[in-house]
Amino acid sequence: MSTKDLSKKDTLYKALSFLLLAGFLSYWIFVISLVFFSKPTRDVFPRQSLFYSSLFNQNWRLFSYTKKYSVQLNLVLRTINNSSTTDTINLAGYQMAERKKYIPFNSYEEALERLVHTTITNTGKNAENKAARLKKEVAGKDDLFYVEQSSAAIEKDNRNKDNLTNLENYARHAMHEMGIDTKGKEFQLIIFHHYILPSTAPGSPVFNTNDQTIFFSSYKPF
Amino acid sequence: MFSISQLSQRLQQNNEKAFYLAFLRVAISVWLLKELLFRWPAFELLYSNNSFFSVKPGVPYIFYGYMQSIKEHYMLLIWLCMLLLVLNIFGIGRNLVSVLVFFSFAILKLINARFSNGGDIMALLLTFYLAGANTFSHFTLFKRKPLSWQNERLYNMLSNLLAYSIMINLCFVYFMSALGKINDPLWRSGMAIHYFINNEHYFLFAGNNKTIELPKVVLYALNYGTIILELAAPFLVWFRRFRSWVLFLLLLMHSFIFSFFMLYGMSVIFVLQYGLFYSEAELKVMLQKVKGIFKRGKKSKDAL
Repeated sequence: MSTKDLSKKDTLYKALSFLLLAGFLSYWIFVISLVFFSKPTRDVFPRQSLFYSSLFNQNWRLFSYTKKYSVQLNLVLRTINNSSTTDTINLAGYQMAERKKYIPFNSYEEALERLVHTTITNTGKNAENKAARLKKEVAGKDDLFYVEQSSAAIEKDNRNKDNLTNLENYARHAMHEMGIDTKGKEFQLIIFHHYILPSTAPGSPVFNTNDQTIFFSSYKPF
Repeated sequence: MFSISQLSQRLQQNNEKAFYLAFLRVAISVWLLKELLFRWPAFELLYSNNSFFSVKPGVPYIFYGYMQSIKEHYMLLIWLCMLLLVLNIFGIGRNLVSVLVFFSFAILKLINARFSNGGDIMALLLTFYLAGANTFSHFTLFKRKPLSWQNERLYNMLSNLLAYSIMINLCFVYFMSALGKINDPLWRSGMAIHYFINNEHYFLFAGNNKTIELPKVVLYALNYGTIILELAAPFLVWFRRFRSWVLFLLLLMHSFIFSFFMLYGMSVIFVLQYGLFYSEAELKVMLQKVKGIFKRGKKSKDAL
């Protein structure tokens, strides 16, 4: 190989090494921009941003969002056409208890609990947002009015259809697992926030300790 | 003075983290294999089109149709993941298999994006970074033939950049997490831990309508200690003087999360990466010390 060829090869490898370094820097500039300047980055690189975010969500929080409540799901059971006697079952509590049995060796219950929890949280958030918008539009009504209206709107909205169908299917599955007779009965799902009692330590902030209903579905047959 | 050329030359000299990258390849593959085996009973629920809990694939635009077809044959994808992981553990197929491991787990994540937790995302990130690195200098079935001198130098550089990417990413996670906590009013008030240990979704012993009370001083120490640690660790861990202490405190934090917060994958995957912050020579000294402890234990047993 002549000296000229060798020098050409050297230049090529040098260029490649700079390219690697440039790739490394570009990658990290892209990731940091996507987290700190999300909108402009998504505007400039829409496809890349969407693809990258769908794989690696780098918006890490690790317990950063503290909730003063736990999100719960109740099932109200009643005989069709007879609303006088009802039975209430806490489905979120039931699924969490199932998850905690034999943990970490019960992946099915763990997976189901995580799916149910995410779905309840998402549906609850959608209902809360809807209620907040309603409050702005129609002010001065009591809380029940906004929950009723937002729940009805959520049930009608096609974007929530999958979440609600999943929760209804889960309710049927849980009833079957619990061995509860559902013949001739119908059910309603209620999402609510169960507020955690504040620490009794002096000086700690005091919060509402009641349960707060966020969403309730219409009655559905099994 | 700082020179890009010098930096480039330094990165090409050798694969600085060769041993630990190889260890990480094996450890992540074994962990993912274990996760697949443990999650076996949940596959139909998570991935099948016939699951009573239907989750649409979390992919935008062009891939959506493909993902629906993959969901119809999700067990093939699982078997493929397992085969690739076994090959990757033994270093068979080198980077090609590592790249395929990343792609197969990316698809698995996309067909049910709702299920992933922090540990799953971090594991996927690790497969992404390790896919291009030289992780084959140790723990392989067949010895690796070196490339030509110049190609080997480029390979070293890529491996070093990817190793640093893993380290930067880990620091980035802690830093982001600290920023998130500073933005949260309950973390700022010092009471966040109280709410987490009383939320049955997070804490193993929460629930049954009982309130778990910790002394105020413990709550404050844990609360502000976590914020300070997560804020300082991404910077201090790069200095030899603080490194072991910072990593020890992070290990303590993850042990607490592992033991009480039901997030097993996340803690394991995070802690596995700590070894990258040590040089090859330091790791060898540590290994010798560990071997020495075992030898002394064996000798005293024999003497008895």
